[in-house]
Amino acid sequence: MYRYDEFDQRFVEERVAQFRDQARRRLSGALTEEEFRPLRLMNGLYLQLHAYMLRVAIPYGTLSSDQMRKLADISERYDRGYGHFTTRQNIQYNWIKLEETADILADLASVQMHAIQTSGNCIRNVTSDPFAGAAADEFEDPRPTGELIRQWSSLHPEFSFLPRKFKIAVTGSPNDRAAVKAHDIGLRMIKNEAGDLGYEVIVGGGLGRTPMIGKVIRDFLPKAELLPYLEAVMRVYNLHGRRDNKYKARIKILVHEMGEEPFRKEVEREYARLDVESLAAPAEEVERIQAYFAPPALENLPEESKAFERAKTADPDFRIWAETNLHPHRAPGYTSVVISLKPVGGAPGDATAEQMRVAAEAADLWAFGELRVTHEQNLVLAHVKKDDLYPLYRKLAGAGLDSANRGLVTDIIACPGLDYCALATARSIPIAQRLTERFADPKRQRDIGPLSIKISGCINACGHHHIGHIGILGLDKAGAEFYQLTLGGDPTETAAIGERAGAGFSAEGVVDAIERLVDRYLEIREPSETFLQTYRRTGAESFKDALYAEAG
Amino acid sequence: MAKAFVSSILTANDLREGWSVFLTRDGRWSRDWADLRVAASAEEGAELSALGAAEEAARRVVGAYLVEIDAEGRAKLRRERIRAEGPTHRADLRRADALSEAA
Amino acid sequence: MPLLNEKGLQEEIWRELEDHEPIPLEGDVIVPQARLEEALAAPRTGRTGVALPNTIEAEALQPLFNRLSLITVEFPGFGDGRGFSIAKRLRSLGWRGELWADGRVIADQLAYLRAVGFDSARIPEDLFARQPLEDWLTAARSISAAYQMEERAPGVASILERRKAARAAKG
Repeated sequence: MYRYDEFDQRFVEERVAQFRDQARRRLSGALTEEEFRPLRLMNGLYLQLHAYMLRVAIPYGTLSSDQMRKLADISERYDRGYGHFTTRQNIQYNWIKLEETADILADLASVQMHAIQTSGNCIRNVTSDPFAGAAADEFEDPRPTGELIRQWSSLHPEFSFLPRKFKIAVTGSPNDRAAVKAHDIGLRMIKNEAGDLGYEVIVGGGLGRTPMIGKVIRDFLPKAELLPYLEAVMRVYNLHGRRDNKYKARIKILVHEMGEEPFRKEVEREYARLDVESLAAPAEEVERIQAYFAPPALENLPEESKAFERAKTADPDFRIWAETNLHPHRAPGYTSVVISLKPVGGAPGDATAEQMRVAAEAADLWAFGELRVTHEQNLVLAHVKKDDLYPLYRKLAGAGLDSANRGLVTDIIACPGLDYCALATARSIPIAQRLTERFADPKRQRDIGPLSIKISGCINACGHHHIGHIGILGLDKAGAEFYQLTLGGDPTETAAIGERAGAGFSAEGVVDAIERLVDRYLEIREPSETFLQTYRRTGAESFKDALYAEAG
Repeated sequence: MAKAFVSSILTANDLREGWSVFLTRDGRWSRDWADLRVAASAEEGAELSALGAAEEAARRVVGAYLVEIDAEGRAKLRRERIRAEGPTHRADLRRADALSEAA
Repeated sequence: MPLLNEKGLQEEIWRELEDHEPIPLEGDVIVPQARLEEALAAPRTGRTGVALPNTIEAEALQPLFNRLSLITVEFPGFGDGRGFSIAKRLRSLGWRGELWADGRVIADQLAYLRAVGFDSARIPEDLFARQPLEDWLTAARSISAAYQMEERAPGVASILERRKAARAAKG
């Protein structure tokens, strides 16, 4: 993974000192709250329902075991002993003091981390595939692109006061695990007919109030032209994006209102004005970054591991876990492991300091000291020998990190909701808790198969409900929480925005409603058909019948 | 017709620490929802709002606003009850004085 | 209104035209965009500057570059960053004269303003009263090297160039 050189290190240290001075000026009155707010946001510091919240960047979701241990230390020293991993592969702390924030940032800098641009109307932390560099189906590691964009966009003078926040995601696999079509810019690494590497550039996707699937505005952008082309897109957006209404300020609205073709022309016109050569990243810099992402020294192993097979026979719980929580690795005898942060009754994405340390230790012992955070709010060990899976599993089980539910009905994505968030209209976490309790039976979960439930506690859609197979949107109706369902959403290469199912449900009723949906699916599915496939084949009607027939 | 005034208390976040705080009868900011100064009329409400603005200007708190309360003295809105009592998903995160499940 | 950059306060030699004031024939004057044609047609001996809103298409001004000595770009609030891109455009179109950011920008933006091509910021008195010169000078110095290649404020080094130099030194 990427390591800071002395220049990166100095940069984050200066940034810490800068923030310390900004906080001092806020307390002295030189900066008003209105002026300080965007400055603190650009260092990830929000004011939430209960306290300040700090969002720490985990660039493209990759971190080292030492960094994970530091995150654990910070949660104990400055917060309440836990953190929340988010859908943007970051971590959030909920109980932070303004007075201590600069010290936290300094602690982060000591392990090459920061909170730069994790909020604010600027280019946010770049997200990517959690199995990058390991997945069997990948043809190019997307993380060097992520790192290049991270550096280029950090404290960018021109693009730090955009109309609204700006999110970029990169995938290097044809199977999109980074939801690139739901981002302001999505980059899909591809090869053209001549065999050259480049990007398909997708612009104007996003969720929130006006969910939209991104549009391809460049079929093939040569790899070397990435930064100049991004600059052209950003400049068009900065100049023409709406600033009169914050709910219409994202680039998706600009693309929509201008029209796809005029927008593309405007970008190309801007691009033609640029001195592409001088803006492109120098080849030696690209190579320098690339070198950090060289695969670890993997052994030549047989595909099948005897130890793994033996353990599966001996321990049925382990077998179940191994059937759900592993992801195919490109090297024989290796696998990627998903550490689920979705225990029954838990808050999705939350991890205690102890759990973070156990995950870090497991990474040191069996995964080259490296971890990933997924946009599904789980952790990943990317390179694990199948021979080592059983001891790894035992270690995880000792810390409550052995939930065997990756991709299943209890692997729920949820935003913090009204339990923490100042913007939320309803709670999300308690709904996830009730749902995981309802569907706790492992056999039933596995029988249901792949099914993603995503919960947002307000229309801003941080829980990505529009792209859940079943989406849940929490709203407030005359003082009562109520929940609207959307069906058929999909974050992958076959991206789709879910359709509203109809009238919403009470907090008590929504769990029963989801169960009726699942039961209907089990009734009408064809052999080996997933929920989403059944939904696409049969359409919404039979599911709506199941939802509303008895309520009628 | 003007909306009838609903009895309210004053809340804000502590500027340095960030915690949500509530103005007490004796003019202190407290983390606890106890012995709070209540505005019972529109005039008292305006007075309390002005006090909040002054406290913001003095850089003790940030984001001061009035919270409507019911006859039992609890916040009317769920949001405000959660803010006063803590997250509802883990008992250990509730504030010590949290009365009940917030819903 | 104070005019400043990382070197300190700048002398105020320019005068802004009042509403409905006739175009003066002498002295350095900033005119609103709507009256630019009128000002350029007048037999003036002083220099002419133009105050642009941040909705301008920079290209429209290019034919007049050689008759202007100053361009100011409006910042209605510090959160409205259009001016940064307009400055970039003006510079890339060949504007070599003075360029000011005009409005409610804050100290922490000075380095960004300088990086995209502004020479100075002209800020309202009330803002300057709260954010004295010292704040601006400190803020401008806070980051010593930047990742961007083109856009860097004076005195801010290029991280990429430093890397290159470090590589060369290593051989």
